[in-house]
Amino acid sequence: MMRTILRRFSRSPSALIGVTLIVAWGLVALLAPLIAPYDPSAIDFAAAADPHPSLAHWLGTDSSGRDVLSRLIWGARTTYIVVPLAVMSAFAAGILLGVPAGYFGGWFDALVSRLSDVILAFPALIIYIILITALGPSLLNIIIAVTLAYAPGVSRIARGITLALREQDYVAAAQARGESSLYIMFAEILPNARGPLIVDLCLRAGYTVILTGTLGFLGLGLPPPTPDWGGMVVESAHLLPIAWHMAVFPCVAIASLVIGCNLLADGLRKEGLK
Amino acid sequence: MTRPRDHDYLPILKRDLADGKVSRRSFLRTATLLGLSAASAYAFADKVTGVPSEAQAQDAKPKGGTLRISTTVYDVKSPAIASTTAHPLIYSQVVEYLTKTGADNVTRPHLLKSWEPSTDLKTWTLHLRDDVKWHSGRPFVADDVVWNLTRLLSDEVGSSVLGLMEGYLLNSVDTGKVDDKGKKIIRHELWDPKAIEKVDDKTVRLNLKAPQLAVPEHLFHYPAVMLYPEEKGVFGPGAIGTGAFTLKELNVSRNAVLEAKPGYWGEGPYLDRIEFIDVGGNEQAIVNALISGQVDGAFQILPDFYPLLKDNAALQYYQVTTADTSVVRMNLKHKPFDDAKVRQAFRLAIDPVKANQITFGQFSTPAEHHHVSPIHPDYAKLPEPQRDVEKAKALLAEAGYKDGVDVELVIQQNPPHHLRNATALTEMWKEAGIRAAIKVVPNPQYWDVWMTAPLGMTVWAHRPLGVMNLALAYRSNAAWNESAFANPEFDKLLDEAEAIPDPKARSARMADIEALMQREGPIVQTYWRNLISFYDKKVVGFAMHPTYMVFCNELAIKS
Repeated sequence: MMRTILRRFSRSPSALIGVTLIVAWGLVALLAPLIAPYDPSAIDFAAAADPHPSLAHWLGTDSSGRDVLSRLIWGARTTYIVVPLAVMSAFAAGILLGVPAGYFGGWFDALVSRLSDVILAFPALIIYIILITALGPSLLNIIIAVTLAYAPGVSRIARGITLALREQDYVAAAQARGESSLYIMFAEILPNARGPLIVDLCLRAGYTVILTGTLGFLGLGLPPPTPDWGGMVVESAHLLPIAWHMAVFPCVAIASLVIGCNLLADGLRKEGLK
Repeated sequence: MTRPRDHDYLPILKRDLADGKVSRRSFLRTATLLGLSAASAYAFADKVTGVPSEAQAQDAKPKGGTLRISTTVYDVKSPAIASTTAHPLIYSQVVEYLTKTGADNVTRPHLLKSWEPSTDLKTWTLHLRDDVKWHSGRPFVADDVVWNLTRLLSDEVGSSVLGLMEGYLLNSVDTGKVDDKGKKIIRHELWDPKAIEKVDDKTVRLNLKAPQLAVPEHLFHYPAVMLYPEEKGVFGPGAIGTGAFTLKELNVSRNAVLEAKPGYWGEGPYLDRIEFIDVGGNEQAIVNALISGQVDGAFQILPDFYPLLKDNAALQYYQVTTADTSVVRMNLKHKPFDDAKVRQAFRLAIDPVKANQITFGQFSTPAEHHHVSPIHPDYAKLPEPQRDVEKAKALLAEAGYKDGVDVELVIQQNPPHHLRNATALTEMWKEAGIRAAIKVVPNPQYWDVWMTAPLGMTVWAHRPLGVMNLALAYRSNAAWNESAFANPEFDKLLDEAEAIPDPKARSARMADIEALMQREGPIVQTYWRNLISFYDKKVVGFAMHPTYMVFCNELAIKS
């Protein structure tokens, strides 16, 4: 099994690069306390006068005298907590609504579809801004906002695949065996629908990295002094012409992880990993 | 006239200057305040100290042209309740103040010809200029002053002038009613029907309840402009004033256009037209507008951008040292700030020098938690506050918080140095067991909670005297008392300080006030900022003012 997966990855360079980027950042997040040279919120008062990259601070310090490299490393951990939780939560909600909607059809399908339409009618960013302004920025609220915004899209995909799969012979066979609807939906249909869903998951993970960055940039991310890539950009964006390192490095971090997610999604789609 | 022309204290002050007992700055400020003309005060000071004053002589300034200044364009329909220093930038070109504090922090008569305080500082006679006319052609008279001052002091208008002057012009009256929250509704009325007295058409007398030194400075508090009474306090395009310009257009958040009014009584105007342009709240946009020549100058430039503009050949750098600051104020209505020990612990956990360094570096000086600046003539030097984490912890434990406290510090999104200051403070507090979460809110949202949030960071503009900030922000029940600080001893000391003309004697009293603020006060204050700006080199006559005032009638453009 493992060997099959590895063989398939080796056939897809883009998936390989994607996985490498994601795993590399994952290791950085995991090992943050070991590899970060400084506490991410510790202030180096002496470095504040000249924040540019130096031997003591390889990527320089930010406008408050904090080590940029350490904040990047700890920021990876923040990202690796927020993004998987938020995306998993959105997928759980989307699948729990979409698969039954496709399987049963009828009033439940109509209800779920109309609700999805209503939410999809709003630009996603507006939903985040309204929700997070109302609830206040916190980890839980960011997860709630992402779930609400992404669940309708996931549920549509799940519903579409279920509609096609419920006509399959193996589903008819299971029904003939007298299996429960719950078993058929989640043990027969869902495993066969996983391909497109996994590709979508990778893409949405990438979007969520951008999104958490955007929320940070709008001042709606995790409250300071939590190291947060988007927050690092907003705190120093106005200094770009003077101290470019403060904003550019977190931008590179965001971009590399998003590219990683997209390459993986791309590779998986091409390989049709099912 | 039985009242002497010169204040009794003037000869003493002159002798003190000659003996080197008061500084040149203190002498100029106090002497002009006591009625000596600015020219005479400067001349005397120059003669005694031998230091030439800044060049007063002006080359003939060129006429004509449009000056474009970048600023936030607010709705300025009610100058009496203006709440930022960007408001008067627009209306003060049209409607003017009785006095004027210059960029040198010295206050001089403006619509007044002169003022005369009595020896006990309880009677101030204001002599109006004879040559001032409203744009309608009607002369500016004592009735106009009486109408404006009375209006500024009424509860209905709600001007911050009320907080400044209530100590010496108003009585508080308990209405016997309570508001929704059960708080007594207090009304204010003039302490005496003759408190603001018209003597004749060109003379107004202020009869004070208590001695007050800073009357001329208070008359330059930025909402205190003289509006045309017939317009009932409403300002807008076409509004009548006594100034060198009229407002032609006002588009909030976009621009304001003013045109020169011929026949101005004072200097200028040299310009034909001024345009105030709002390029949005983004600091980078302001810098870009300046570099690209979209504007000729900026209301202010964040010091962060100094390196970007300092070598620009087309731009001239201006800066001024000020008493502009932001304070982290604790609201005493909320736990744990009701306990003076906690408030002191919040101060002891901080090293102001380090906090200042992170906040502004070379563009500011460390503050000492009492809101009186070294540039204030009434400043008293106390030992520098030292960081003492152990003592802070001990005080918290004594107050019943031996495991430390969890608090939320609300700050505005802009300007960015607020977050830097907050970051430095929270990092230092941590060691003393003060766990502060920073909550950044959009600026307008901050002004919804600035009077009520348990812990917030509020920006305070420069004011020329230390007593002025203290009266606005910390006197019991003052309009802008955001910390709900109510301390009878402080009020008493402040009343006394406000009545002392001698800068040395006053600073002794200020030392008591400053010590009280450091011991029991409601603020953590770590920096005083310099204000900086850049103007195109073709702009003549500009000086950076500590309250951002721009006297456009004095400005000209070289072709």
